[in-house]
Amino acid sequence: MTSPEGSPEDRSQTSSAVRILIIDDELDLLTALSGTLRRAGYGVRTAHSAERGLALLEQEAADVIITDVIMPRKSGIDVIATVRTLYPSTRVIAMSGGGSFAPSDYHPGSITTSAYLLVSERAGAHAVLAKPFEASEIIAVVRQVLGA
Amino acid sequence: MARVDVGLARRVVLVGLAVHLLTLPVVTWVLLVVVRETQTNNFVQHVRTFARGVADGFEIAPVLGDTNNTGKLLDSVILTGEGVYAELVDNGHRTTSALNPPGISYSGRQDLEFSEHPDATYFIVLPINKVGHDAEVRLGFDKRPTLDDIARARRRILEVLTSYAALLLAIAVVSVHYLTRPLARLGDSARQVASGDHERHLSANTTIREVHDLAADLEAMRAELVGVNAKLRTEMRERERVEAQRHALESQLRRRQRLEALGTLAGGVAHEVNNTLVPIMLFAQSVLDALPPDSPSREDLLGILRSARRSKEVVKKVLTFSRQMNSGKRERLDLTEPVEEVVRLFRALAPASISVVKCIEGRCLPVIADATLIHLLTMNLCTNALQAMRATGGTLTVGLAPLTATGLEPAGVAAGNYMQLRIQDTGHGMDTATMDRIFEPFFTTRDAGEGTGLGLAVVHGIVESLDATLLVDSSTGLGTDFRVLFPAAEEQTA
Repeated sequence: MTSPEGSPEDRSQTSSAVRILIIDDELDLLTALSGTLRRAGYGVRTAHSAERGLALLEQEAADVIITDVIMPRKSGIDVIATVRTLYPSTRVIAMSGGGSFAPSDYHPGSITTSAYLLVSERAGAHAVLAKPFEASEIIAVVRQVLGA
Repeated sequence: MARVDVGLARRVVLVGLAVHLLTLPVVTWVLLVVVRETQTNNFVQHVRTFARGVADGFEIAPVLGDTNNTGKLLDSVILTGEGVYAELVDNGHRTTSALNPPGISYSGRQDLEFSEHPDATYFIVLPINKVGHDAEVRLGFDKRPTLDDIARARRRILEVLTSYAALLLAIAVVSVHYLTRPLARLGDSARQVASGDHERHLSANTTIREVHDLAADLEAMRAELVGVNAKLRTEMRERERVEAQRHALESQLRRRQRLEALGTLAGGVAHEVNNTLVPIMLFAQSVLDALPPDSPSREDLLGILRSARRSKEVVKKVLTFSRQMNSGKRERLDLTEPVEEVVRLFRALAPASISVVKCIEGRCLPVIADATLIHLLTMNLCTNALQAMRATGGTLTVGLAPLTATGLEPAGVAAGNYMQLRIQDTGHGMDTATMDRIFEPFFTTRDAGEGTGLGLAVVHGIVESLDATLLVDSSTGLGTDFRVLFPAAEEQTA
């Protein structure tokens, strides 16, 4: 499997004008999700870190950003806050599988998916989605944030 | 240490007897000597005086040489009853009284001392001083009356002394009894105190000052000891209570730490699994979409999707254990409605061998909770109870009642008002080892495939997220009693 990031396949050439940027540190997830959305007709780019995602955004704006919440170094919450400030017209979807990286990160009540998603909503995400989800669910959420 | 085998009464009697065994013979002997000496001295004095009078009669009266008158004077000795024998020797001529008894004759010597030969006669010889006469009068006196008197006196003395000894013995026994009875009473009371009857008063009930004082001192000591004992018992009870509370808290803490560690692990695993499930589901769906409708591989891909969805549900439950419910909706809630709803459901679900009893008592205090969580918690506990009674049947009791904790409960429940949700079953119960692990995710005693082992872990997660307290009591073969204490919501001002 090749990295989805930066490859020519990153950019879908579809008739749709909708551009989606997916940010997640899980490469398999990036590949699967980008494939699903491309087949649904969306133009998709991917980034495996928050920093890389924001850099791609500087190069080219996106209509929808789908970002993971828990990522090393810079979290999805930071991405949401930055995007909401710099690109107010961009719609943001947060997704999280909850959990914790290490026991030292454990804080009662804060390790759960819904807790992360709640924080994401407060940070300004237009929609949240708990992992795992099915193709139909993510497509429905994308349509929902685009107001379709 | 001296041997203690002789009682006070016996000791006093023995000492008294020993003293009298030594003194009474001496006293008896002394008295007997005095009586004998007195009697014999009186006798000797009397007969000598009488004999002197007879001798004086011969010296004064002109009877010497006159046999007839001499005989009469000698007869008068016997006739007066004083003497039993009389004779006169005048110038070698011997004249005897005609009244002398035949068995008595002068032995040739006079008695200088009184001897106790019963048949002997006491003889006195007195010279008669008269010019021209070498004469002496020989008189015999019967000693038997005197000897009888001595014997009678001896008997009297022995009788008196014997009576005295008997009386003394009786007095000793009575006195000792009088002295020892209060001591025995005091001893009985002391033994009863020693055997545990600490409220028993130590009293001798006596007028003997020493014993009375001793009893008073002992009673004061008992009262002091009872006070100290009561204080020690109170301290001991308090210490035991604190120890039990500490033990319960330690046990609770250990369980909590273990569950938190498991929660951390479960959360981490859930995150990883959730992330992994996304590509599995999306890739499967992608391939499925790409396959023609009649492809035999479609069923395999649908199987992958089913398994992935099932994994998603398991992870969801694990996250519930990891306090997923923290972000749930919280409001002032009357527990009656969700609990009654579950009871209605289980009345319909339970087999005929299991009866479901609802027991809602007192005023239902509102709590801060989420009705969905209460519903889920009650469902899981009732499911657990039904499973425990599945083989044997029994009674599932769902109770709801207000409860006020004093803060002294062993489980460390803080003082305050609570609503207690109680789920009791009469099923197979649990041993301590099982009870210690029931809240761990995936721990189950059911057969493989019959339970996920997540029901009680979810209960634990919900209880923790609602700041409630979960208490479990169970005995093998007798059933299990789950109590969930929800802190009562503070009264709202209008």
